[in-house]
Amino acid sequence: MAYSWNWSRRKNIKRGVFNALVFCALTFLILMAGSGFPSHIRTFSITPGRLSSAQVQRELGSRLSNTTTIIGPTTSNFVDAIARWSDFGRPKVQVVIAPGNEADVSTIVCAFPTLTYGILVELTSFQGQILR
Amino acid sequence: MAYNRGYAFTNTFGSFNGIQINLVNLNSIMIQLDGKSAWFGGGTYTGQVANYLWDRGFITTTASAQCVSLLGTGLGGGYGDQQGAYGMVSDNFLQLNVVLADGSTICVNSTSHEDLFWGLKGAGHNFGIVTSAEMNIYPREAEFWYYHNYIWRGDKLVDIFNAINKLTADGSVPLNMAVNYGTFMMNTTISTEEPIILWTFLYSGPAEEARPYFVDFDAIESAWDDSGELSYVDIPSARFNSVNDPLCQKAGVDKLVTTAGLQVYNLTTEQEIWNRFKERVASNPDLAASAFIVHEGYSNQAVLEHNPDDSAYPFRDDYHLMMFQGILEPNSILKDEMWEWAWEVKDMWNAGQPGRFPDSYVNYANGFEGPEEWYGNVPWRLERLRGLKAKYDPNNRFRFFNPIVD
Repeated sequence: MAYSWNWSRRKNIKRGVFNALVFCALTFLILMAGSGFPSHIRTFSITPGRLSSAQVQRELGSRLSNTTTIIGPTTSNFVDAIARWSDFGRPKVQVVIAPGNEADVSTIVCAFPTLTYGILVELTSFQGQILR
Repeated sequence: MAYNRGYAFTNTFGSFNGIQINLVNLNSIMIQLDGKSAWFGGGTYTGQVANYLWDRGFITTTASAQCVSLLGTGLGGGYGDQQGAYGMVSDNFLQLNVVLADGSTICVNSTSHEDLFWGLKGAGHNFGIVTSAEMNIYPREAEFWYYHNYIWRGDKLVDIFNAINKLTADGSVPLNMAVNYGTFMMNTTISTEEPIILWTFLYSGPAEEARPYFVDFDAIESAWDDSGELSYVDIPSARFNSVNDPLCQKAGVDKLVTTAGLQVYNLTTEQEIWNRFKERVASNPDLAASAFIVHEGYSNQAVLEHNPDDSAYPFRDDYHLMMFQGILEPNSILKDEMWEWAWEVKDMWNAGQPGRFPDSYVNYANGFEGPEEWYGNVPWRLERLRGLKAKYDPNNRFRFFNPIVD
């Protein structure tokens, strides 16, 4: 019996996925409440490509090194830029930023603190403010 | 989310939706003047690093597969072909530049943020984005490596695992027997009815010196074998993990993976795993054709010389690294059956070593296992990691790769 398939574990897998969805939904609801977030930030639903590369370019372009590339879903090399060894459980990517140098990484994290971490927040008019 | 080569596969980042910071441009390698260390950008990868250093007379610790990230591997500990002589990838970290969740940049080494330095060596994906790191490098020594690949039929299984257990007894793998790597898989040119056992050996030195270690294996009648001496940088193609090999390809497929860490092979367990593979060849040939049951082993002398408490990597006493890999098209109807098989094999490996808690090398974990299985089922390790999390990433932004804190 020790070698038999553990059905409860498979339920746990499904529960894990379910929990992740619940977590996302809760995060979304908390953000919807809007408490604690500056007014220039608004929440949005999960729509791939909602944050455009043009938008990133506009808000961040001048502060990144000129070897940085910004790749949106409509760009031809987007698929290559997000390719993974396994597609199982892959993250959703709206925009790829390939920093030209190490300092750019910090700039990106500061400019898009929540999007970098996958929380669904959109900056409508970036004002150089660091969100904590 | 930071991305370098895209070989991480845990389910835990499935909930991410946002910006990918692609480190591809941070690909510089700078050998320091004293020739004892080099700086590596966050976008460097194994094959690039190995070739660059070799051409200049050096080597360092990397993952084994040529396609994978150098630093991503190291942040999870970092098994590799050079670990017997030089330790794991993370054992060779000297300092790392890290961008934290608040956008600040810190330098982490044994005197600056030394608490985080401990955490980055084994649980490092949890704290920030590593943009570059300085690592030890070493003068290149063995010009040629000896490789020997065998394909054995299943009726030789007991002899094979007895010989491997003898070679690797109590973790005392001979220093230069760098890699031994065995896979149960289908190869229809050999048999359409049962899996073959493919075993790859790499010895860091000439054939003449290696020969005594192969007496036991040469004595087991093989269905096919191939051996020879190659330059270190040409070895990957002989062991099927160069950037051009199928192992490294990103083909838009799902990899269903389970993993385990072992000290010794349980012959009853391995026989049963092989038998159940053979049963599936008859009952579900499509499923069987898509499965690879991998037994990785590396020389480990330098790994064991490190005090295990000195880094967050918790499993230095695992001498063998197991991986079940099922490769399926997205939305394959075989998915449930493949998961069932994957967990079955993992459970068998662990049931075959009673008294040991299941371990999952964090770079091979599928995300369903949990922190005790990734970071060590030892309270002080998890407490220490949670403390680092509270200090360096209090809002738990970096929680998408097998997270310490959910």
